[in-house]
Amino acid sequence: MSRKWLLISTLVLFVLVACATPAVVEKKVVTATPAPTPEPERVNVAFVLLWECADNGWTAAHCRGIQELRSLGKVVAEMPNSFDVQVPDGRIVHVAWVEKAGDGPDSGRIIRDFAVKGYNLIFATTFGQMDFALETATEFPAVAMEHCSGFKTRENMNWYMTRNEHSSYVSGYTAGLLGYHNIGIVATNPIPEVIRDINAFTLGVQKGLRESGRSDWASASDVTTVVWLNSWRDAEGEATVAQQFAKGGFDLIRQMADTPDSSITACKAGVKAVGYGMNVANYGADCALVSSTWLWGPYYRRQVQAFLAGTWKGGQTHYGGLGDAPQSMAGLEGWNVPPEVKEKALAVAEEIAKKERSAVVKGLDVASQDGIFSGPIYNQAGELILPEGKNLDDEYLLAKMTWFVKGVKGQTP
Amino acid sequence: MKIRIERRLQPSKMVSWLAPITGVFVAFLIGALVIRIAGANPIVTYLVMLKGASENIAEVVVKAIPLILCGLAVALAAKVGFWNIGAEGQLVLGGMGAAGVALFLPNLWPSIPGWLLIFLMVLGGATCGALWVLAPTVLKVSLRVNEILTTLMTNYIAILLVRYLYFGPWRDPEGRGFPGTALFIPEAWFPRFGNTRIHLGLAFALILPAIIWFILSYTKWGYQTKIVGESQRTAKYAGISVVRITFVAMFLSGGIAALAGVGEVGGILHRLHQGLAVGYGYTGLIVAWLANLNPWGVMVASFFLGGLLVGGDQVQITMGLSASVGLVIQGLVLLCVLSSQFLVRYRIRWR
Amino acid sequence: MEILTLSLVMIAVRAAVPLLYATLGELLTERSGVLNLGVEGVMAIGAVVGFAVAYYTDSVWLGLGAALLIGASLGLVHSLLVVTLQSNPVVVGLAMVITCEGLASFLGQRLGPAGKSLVGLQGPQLGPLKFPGILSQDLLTYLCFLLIVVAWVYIYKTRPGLELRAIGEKPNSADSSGINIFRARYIHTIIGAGLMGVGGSYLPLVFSPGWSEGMTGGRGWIAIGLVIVSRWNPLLAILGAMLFGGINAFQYKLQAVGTTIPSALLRMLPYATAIVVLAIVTLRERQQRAEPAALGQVYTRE
Repeated sequence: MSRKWLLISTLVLFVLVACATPAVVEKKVVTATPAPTPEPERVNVAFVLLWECADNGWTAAHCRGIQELRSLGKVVAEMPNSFDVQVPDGRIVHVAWVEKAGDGPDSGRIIRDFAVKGYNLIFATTFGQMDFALETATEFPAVAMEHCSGFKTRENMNWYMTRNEHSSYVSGYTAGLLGYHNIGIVATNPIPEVIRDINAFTLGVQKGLRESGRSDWASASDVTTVVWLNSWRDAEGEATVAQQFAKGGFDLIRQMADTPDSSITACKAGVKAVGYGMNVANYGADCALVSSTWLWGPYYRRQVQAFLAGTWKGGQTHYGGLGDAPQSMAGLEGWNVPPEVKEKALAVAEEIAKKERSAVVKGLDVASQDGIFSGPIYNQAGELILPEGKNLDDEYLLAKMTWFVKGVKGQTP
Repeated sequence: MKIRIERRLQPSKMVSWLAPITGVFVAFLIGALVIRIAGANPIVTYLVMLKGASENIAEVVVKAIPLILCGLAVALAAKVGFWNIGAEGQLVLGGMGAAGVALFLPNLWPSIPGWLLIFLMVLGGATCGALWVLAPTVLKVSLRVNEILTTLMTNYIAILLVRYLYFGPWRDPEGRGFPGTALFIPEAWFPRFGNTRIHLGLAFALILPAIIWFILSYTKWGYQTKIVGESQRTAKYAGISVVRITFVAMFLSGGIAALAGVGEVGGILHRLHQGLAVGYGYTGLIVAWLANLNPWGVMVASFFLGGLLVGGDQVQITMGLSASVGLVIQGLVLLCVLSSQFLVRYRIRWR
Repeated sequence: MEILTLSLVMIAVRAAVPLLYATLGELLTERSGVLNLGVEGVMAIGAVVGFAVAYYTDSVWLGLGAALLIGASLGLVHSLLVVTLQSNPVVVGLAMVITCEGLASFLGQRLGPAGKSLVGLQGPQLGPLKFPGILSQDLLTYLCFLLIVVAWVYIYKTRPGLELRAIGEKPNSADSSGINIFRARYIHTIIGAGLMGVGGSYLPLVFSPGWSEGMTGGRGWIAIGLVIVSRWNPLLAILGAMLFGGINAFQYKLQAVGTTIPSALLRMLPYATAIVVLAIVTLRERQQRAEPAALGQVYTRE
């Protein structure tokens, strides 16, 4: 009998001791609890993220933007999922984030929880969190809410989005200049943002092909072929589709998923790729011609600074592209093309940037000025949608683009 | 030292209470090791979890509503020997049915009273869920096709079907092309309690376990169900129609799981979109078996797991520890409680 | 339309291999009378551990070995709970899936350098052998088909195989003829789970470049279905696995050639097919039973 108890108590003791040994990060843990009430000299900023920072795509780009907030001042504290920055006027900006909040009811709870905990500025970073963000913004009118990639605003809620079509257009143009004309697109979900990107990419390819003297290729009906994953990321699906494209004789693979698996698979199969979200060359897809990337850092810095200065305003929309000032929000990184091609592509990028800047200065609609979606544009059936001399505007791009341009093979819902 | 295992002639009352509690305790001990390996202090972690759950008690209730309903659905099916792994799909279909009513009925009948609209949403959702379980039930009853696999496959199909609807035909025409149906008219929003997100679904979650418990314990049908669950052969000898009992139980099971989806759509989301299928149906499995298929136990287990999940968020927010810790502990609790049942049936003698 | 081209067959083979390892593992387990529904979880753990070990040791083979070992230890836990503690195998299996999936996600976010995530890391990968055409597959694929043949010979042509079948069919009479049932069940469950772990690790080590969460994507469940479809015969499992792997690749292919069927509905194809095939096979099962009679039943010696 006594042996039995000896054995059991030794076991329990062992486990307890193992548990109670002070953990290395324990000290940090205690300080990690944010102040429950915002002290005057403390500003709390929160980010609610879709996936983990290591997804190498959508969320990674947001995390990179979050890290840029360190440049606001001096980092005075470092916690597992947060850091404190002391800005020049002595105030402390506490920046915290939650990974893998998803876009379901859990994300709603997390957003609301930040508001309850006294966070002043909350960024909800994916479309599906829109209604939850709006709900919390309505319940807590003192909270400043920022929502990425949706369309709803409120007196204390903004939306922001990158004009990724800018960088998609330029990366398509680059591919066209190099003569790629049978391109497989590993697409995610058929929503306007994605359809807009695919269209811009295809228009860019056609422009590049025409400028390199291949108008015949440019006018084909299957310059790009779209296969939908029906998912934002699906490692197995991305690899399967990329393999099929590679084996099916496609000459280039355009990644659109949040993860770089299709680009990496393309490189392994000996087919070039165009990356998306982050510079995929850093993640094993070293064959990528270029990656169109998201740059949220400038916007995050600007908004936090505005909040500190008391000039933050709700009800705003921010849709910034290559020419967004002071720094572009749409990026092109990891060039891996001949210098003369890169030069040409950057010239086109600069032109778009210039047009955006001048449109913003003049208070004009950017999409109708930047020259990407300008007529004549035909749809897949060959019908003229936009006559020569006309341009699609922001409203159309954001809300009504549910069709593919001529040259895209694939279905829209 | 020698260990001898003997079957208990009579299950000990004390042990049958102590065993599951020990199981939960052991699960938290193993969980502590996992947390320790992850480089955090387990005691602090558990305290943060507990604090997070108790400070957000309303959210624990919100979480418990779908868990109770899914757990009850799984438990009821299991009572007739049917492994319903498809609660997730039935939940999604329930959401679909409710959304269909909420979106289209007011157009046909603009002056519909709010209470009737909500009633029809509940009815529509429950019917969809009940019908969704029809195919696996028919296959099981007529051909004895393995229902674990068919109900699981129908989950994938249900999620894709609803996805097709909100990406395609049901997509909000004003939604700027984004996936998701239109927001329901305010009359279709389930009433909420006070300043919380607790909604009408709580009523179902509290009443249905009581009803099911009553039916199973005190009615003839409940008695027959018990016999069918224990031995189909005995049931046949006793002249009980196994097919009929199974069908009724499965319709109820599908309908109850669907109510979880109705509640999520009507009370939380107010539209159909990708936030519906977040795995409550699978957690319902844990709930049902933690509760040992007892309707009252289902309620207790749901609040426990709801607290674990809500507390798990806090661990991530304040400690930067992955929220999957909560999931691991969930599974461990179930495993440990299951193995603790051995102590109820057997006595271990040490010499 | 170049639908039924060589490329589709090759992709089907590659998609079939992880399924086959898992199916073979489950088949051996079930032959001994133990039902292990935890396949999906064991595969998830195998994937994350296999990838992590391969990443740190820079050796695919050590990664595979680790996946085999971790899978086997999960098999040990399963047999402890089911064979010795006599818990309900279905519930234990489901609980294992939930625990292991949580654990896999947790480990995946922690095992990277400096406690970071494994997502996006580049580990060593097994490439295809330099053979012409469809023969250009990786070594694990060849090993997989070899193992299946060995398993078939073992089950149907050897004395221990005969004993195994007896244990799954009539444990009572097997016991009285002096076979150690508990030992056999432990061994087959452990080896089976080890194979499931290998199947899981195939995904990040060969199929996809790197690890990502949820990459097993329901394969474990398909594997359980395949055991039924193959009527507990390893050779027939090849056919079933190729069919499922092929259908999944096929629906993407249909999109690429410009079908008008909505892509969301096309994605249902593998799951719907699974139900139909299961129903058809079960019809056959009614005429001639192949399922081990003692499958999932507790065996006690009294």
